[in-house]
Amino acid sequence: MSVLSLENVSKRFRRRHRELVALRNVSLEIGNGEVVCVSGGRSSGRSTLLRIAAGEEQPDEGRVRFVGTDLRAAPDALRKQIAFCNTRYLPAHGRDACEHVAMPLFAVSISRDEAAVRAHRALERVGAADIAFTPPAAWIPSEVVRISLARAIVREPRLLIFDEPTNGVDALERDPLLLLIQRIAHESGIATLLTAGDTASVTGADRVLRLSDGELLGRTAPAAAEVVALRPPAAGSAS
Amino acid sequence: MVGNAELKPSARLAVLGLLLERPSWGYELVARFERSFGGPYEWSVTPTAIYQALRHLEQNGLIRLHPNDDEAEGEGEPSDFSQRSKRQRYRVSGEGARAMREWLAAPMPSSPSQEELLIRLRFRGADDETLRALLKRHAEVCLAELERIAAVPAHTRMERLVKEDRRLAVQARLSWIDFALAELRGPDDARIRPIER
Repeated sequence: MSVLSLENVSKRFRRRHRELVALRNVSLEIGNGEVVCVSGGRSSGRSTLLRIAAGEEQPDEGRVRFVGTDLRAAPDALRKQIAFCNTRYLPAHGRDACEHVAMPLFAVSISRDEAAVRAHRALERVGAADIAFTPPAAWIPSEVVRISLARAIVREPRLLIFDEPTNGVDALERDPLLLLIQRIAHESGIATLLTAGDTASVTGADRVLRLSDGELLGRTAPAAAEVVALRPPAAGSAS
Repeated sequence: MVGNAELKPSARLAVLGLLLERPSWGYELVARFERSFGGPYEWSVTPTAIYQALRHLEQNGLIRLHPNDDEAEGEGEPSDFSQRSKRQRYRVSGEGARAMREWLAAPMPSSPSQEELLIRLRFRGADDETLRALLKRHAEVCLAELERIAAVPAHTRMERLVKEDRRLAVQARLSWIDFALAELRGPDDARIRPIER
């Protein structure tokens, strides 16, 4: 079963007297641990696709399922297994990186100490242990991406949605970040949906798709071999 | 047969298509080719290649010298091809017109080259719906290539430079496909009425 499945999703917006079609009959399936990158130009419908996949917006037509459940009817506990990252509008909660990462855990009934331990572990996984106690104002863009990623994985989500992870990051730091996201997705079996601007790097993506004027082009479903290959997570397996 | 091996079939088709639009001299054809399909950089088609295409097409009876020019030339017609092609106009023979028609009507290969796509777009070898399908298929080929590039490990500086070059080239092509699809969604030039003064 796919973790995320969009079936014939369409979305239109009304702007004054014009009707803009953001998504035209888009279908997409993402399996366990798979990294799918959707590239496209500015008004290609990328952000709309992400918001709909995250359940933040409803499609006009079509259906979105998350681990088999219609996202509209999904209970909160299930929705919490979707992590949405958008570094452009990052609300910097907390005094330092550690607290920022631990924040989503405060809502869950675990102790503050336990939350801090898990946050530290997440920061270690993304290679940001050394900046655990730096304040948000000191973070450079690539650190923001790492910290956002840590905050997303601290809740152990099934689905990670990341809007333009390398936006604003220095050229030489982009590919290592994308490979980090891929490694974590493969290791933990997190279905991952990324977007990339027109010319942004697509390194680390298992599948690359293109949104062109609201139409999704490319391999919209994983090949059978990929589904088997990405079954999570054999101990010590790394891609 | 001289130089046929290195001749791109797409260059021949482009030359044939341009001559179908109107008879041309060799050098005029070079200029028209550049205007229509970009310069030698884009297609790696040099003027020499265009003269070679002319020679090939003539040898195969797909084009011939324009009758008027033939008469004007009279007996003094130089036998050397390169001498003639610079001064004389060529037109498409009945056989050439048929060959072009057949090629335009034939189904496209599953992964057409960019040149082939451009020729089809230029000479309207298909209705908009077919062209859209064609462009989408072309996009799929580019995306498959992009996936291959994404999976290439680049450990050294040189590997990274090469990878980045290939990636950006393929993505530029995808941007062009975005543009082309948007164009095909809009009205055709021919249907846009010029502004009346």
